Amino acid sequence: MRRLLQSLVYNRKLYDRPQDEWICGRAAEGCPCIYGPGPKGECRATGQCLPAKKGDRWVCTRLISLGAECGPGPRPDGACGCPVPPCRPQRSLRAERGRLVWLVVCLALGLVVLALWGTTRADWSMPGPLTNQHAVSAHRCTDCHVEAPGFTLSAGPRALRIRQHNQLCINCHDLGPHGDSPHGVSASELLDIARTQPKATGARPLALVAAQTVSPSAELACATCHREHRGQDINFKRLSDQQCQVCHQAPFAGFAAGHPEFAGYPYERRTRLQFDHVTHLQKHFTDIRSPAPGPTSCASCHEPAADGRQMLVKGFEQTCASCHAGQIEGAGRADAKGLIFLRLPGFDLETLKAAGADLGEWPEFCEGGLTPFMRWLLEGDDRARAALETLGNQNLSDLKSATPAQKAAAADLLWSIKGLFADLVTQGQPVLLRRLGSPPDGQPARALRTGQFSADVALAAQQAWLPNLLAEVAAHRRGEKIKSTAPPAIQTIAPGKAPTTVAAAPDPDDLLADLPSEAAAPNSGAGLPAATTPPPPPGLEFDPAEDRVAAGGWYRLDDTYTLYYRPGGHEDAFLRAWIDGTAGHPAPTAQKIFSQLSAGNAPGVCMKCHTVDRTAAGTMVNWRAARPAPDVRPFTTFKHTAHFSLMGDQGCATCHTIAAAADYAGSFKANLDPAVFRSNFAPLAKSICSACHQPAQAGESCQLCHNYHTGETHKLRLKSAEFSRGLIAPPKP
Amino acid sequence: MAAPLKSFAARRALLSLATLALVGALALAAWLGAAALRPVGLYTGWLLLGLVLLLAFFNARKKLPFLPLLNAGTWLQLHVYAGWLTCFVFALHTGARLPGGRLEFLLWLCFIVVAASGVSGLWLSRWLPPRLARSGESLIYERIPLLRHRLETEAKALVHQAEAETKSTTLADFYLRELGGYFARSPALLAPLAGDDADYHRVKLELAALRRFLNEREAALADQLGELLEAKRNLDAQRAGQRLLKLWLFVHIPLTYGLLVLIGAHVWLVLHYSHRL
Repeated sequence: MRRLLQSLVYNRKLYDRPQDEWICGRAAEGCPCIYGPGPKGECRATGQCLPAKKGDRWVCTRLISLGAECGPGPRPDGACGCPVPPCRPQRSLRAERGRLVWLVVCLALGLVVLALWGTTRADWSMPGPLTNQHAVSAHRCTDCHVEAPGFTLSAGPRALRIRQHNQLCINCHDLGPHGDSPHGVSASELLDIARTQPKATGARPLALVAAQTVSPSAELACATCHREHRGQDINFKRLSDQQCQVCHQAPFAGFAAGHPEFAGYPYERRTRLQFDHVTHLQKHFTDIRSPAPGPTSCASCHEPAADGRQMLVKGFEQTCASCHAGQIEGAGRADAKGLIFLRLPGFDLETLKAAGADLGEWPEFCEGGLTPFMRWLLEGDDRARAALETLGNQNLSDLKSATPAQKAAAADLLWSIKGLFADLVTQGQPVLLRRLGSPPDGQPARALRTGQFSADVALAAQQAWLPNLLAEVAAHRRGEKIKSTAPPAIQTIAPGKAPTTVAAAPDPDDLLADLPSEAAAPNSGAGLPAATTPPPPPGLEFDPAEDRVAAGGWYRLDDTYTLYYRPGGHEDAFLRAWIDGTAGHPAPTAQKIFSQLSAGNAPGVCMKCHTVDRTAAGTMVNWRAARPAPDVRPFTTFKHTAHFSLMGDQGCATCHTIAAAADYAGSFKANLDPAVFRSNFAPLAKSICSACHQPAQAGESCQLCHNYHTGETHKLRLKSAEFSRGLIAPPKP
Repeated sequence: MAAPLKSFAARRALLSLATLALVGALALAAWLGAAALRPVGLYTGWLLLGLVLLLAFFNARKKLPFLPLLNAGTWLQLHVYAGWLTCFVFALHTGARLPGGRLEFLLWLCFIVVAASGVSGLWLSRWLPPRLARSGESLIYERIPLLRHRLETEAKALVHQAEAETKSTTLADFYLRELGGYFARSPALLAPLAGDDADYHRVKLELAALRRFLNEREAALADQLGELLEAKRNLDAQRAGQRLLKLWLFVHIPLTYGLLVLIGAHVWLVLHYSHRL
């Protein structure tokens, strides 16, 4: 039988005080002092009991558990007869634990003081590593945090604090005027989207309905989604589908189940180049597999962009040139291959002379009015502009019904034209640059509009048409009177023939009429023989003037007193500069020039393919097909190259099916709004994507196809200019 | 005896179910809050602070017995189940990830150690007492040195009695050689719990081997010495077990106070820098 160690007798038990801080040093020996240690651990032992005085004698009071009344008994002075030697009290277990508690608390407090107020405060208080981008750009806590202690339950200060933090983000990341609005678009645009876009289908997921009951607060902090201090390589933009949808009015369960049908995606605007796939594929290239010049596949004309997302149109030389290069250069044109730039307009000389105007020499057989280009240049001269305003719509070749003021204005205009002509001859391109004036922002440089104008061509024309022009203009500008005369006959250069002379009406008063042609036109027509000299022996024959500048350039036709510019093929800088400069220009003259250049039969036929967009941002000519815009982040993104391996036998037509009945060409008739259009292709059906994009297959996360922050992404980048303006304090060295 | 056990099982099942229900409700609320872009970290942080203070108040409650705030047993139950709930809220708050900041990591580590020591203590308090009670006697830890001293004294008295009655020093010599050292020694901290009682067996075997040299009276006294040996063995086991039951508190309680200090710093930092108040 096991022996019991503790006594069960009540008065044999010891009275333990484990909660006391000190324990008698003799407790382990079985004879603890009945007084126990003092509160500071001092021994208070004197004897085994405190004798009690009964009458005149002292009585032992030793506890029964210690052996009851002792043999020696109390001493006469009342001291215990069994003295106890002093001991060394020991701390109790609880006291030891209490000391450890204080030690740990002191250590923790010291650590906290060092962490929050020490020199390495930033290292200790940072709750975790920043992402790489912020680790580089943020150097202090206050770069991203509003440092202000406080606690409040009221909404106002809390919203203010969120706005203050958001402002710190926006100091570097400019999100545009609607940066705090969902998707960076205005509230009205959001309402439009909600109203016009297809609705979600299917039942609302219960979980999302529940989440929407605790919808986000009105003030949404950037840090709600972009949670920092979680490591360098975390996905800083990761959101769950529920988080994406919690703000949406019509949440849905998934892409395959409930996502709205595509609204015309991916054809969100008309093409920048007017290329009718239907007519080309079904009419011009009846068999897409036929050999050149037709395309053999979509890849003949399209290629993926470097990032694999957008499909680009290959360059002109690789695509359209085989069929359309000659058309652009003017091959087969019945009318002029060049563009009328400058022409001596026909004036009613008789009426003007009758009115007493001194006109100098001016061909009598000029026809046609001012060209738009001439009018633009003349409007750069104050006197000519005043004359044009006075003349209004007056026909220059019939001034009989004109008012005296209009007749005087016509004479002024004639001299302005002569002055412009003379200046072009004597000064060349600087005159053009001066008359064109400074281009507005965004317009092409003036130099491109000169088309590398040749002053020598102008000189040759002047010598052929108005041989005395320079002398007359000089005299006119000195205020001298110049007698009206007809210029001498000029030689025209007919193809395949020797130069012939165009008879000019003889003027009996013309002093120069009897002079040899060399004197009148010393360098006319690039060494052409003089009009009155006998015809030379048959020599080399001239090609037509416009053929002599087949690669583009300036030429003249003497029989019409016209100076032409022939485009040099695709991407002619002269045409492009003038079209860019006049598209959307409010001036009537600019509009006439644009109409002349954009006509369907205009030389270069630029606007046969290139389109003009007029949007709120202004009018813009689309010289290129759609290109990746690195500074624009779309709402929906798609990577073509990732899907090439999924194409079926139909190739690209797996997704892009031709809409033969669509009035594609109608989108470009009298319509400059790119959003109003009919696509060559049928809208993409969601089922094509959802066949693979399901949870168990290719995934259907919202962020797989959609961006939250949309718009011009250059605003999302660091605003380096802000640093230079001092809005963001530079980091401490 | 059956009724209390059933009651204990029923209480444990009921409280466990209640805790699990709370865990489920919190998990659902956290998921909904996260989906609704609510500051779940902030909410769980305040909840965690409240729970930690509640748990810490258990120790304070024991020091304030005059307060009429439930009894210690109820507080212990509350402490245990609220502790489990706190561990779950902690996982929600930290995202079950290792924090990257120094102070945050210390806070995380401190909580983990406190929670782990608490779970260990709970397990020890369930596992050890029945094992210690097998001896048939529940000893008070603070009296164990006294009892060891008493056993040693009784053993000495028996040896003196044998020497006086039989005029033989066989037992006295054996006491001087083996028994005295055994009764005076305290084994290593947890050795008896680990089954390390080789010293006891060695001494007992030697005592048994000594019996052939003992006369009848000495043999009777040797049997009494054997009983004292068994009592000493039990005493050593009781000491090791009860010490273990007290030592885990040396981790749990001091670190709890350290945790409270670090939590204070964490809350101060959050209120100082967070975009949320």
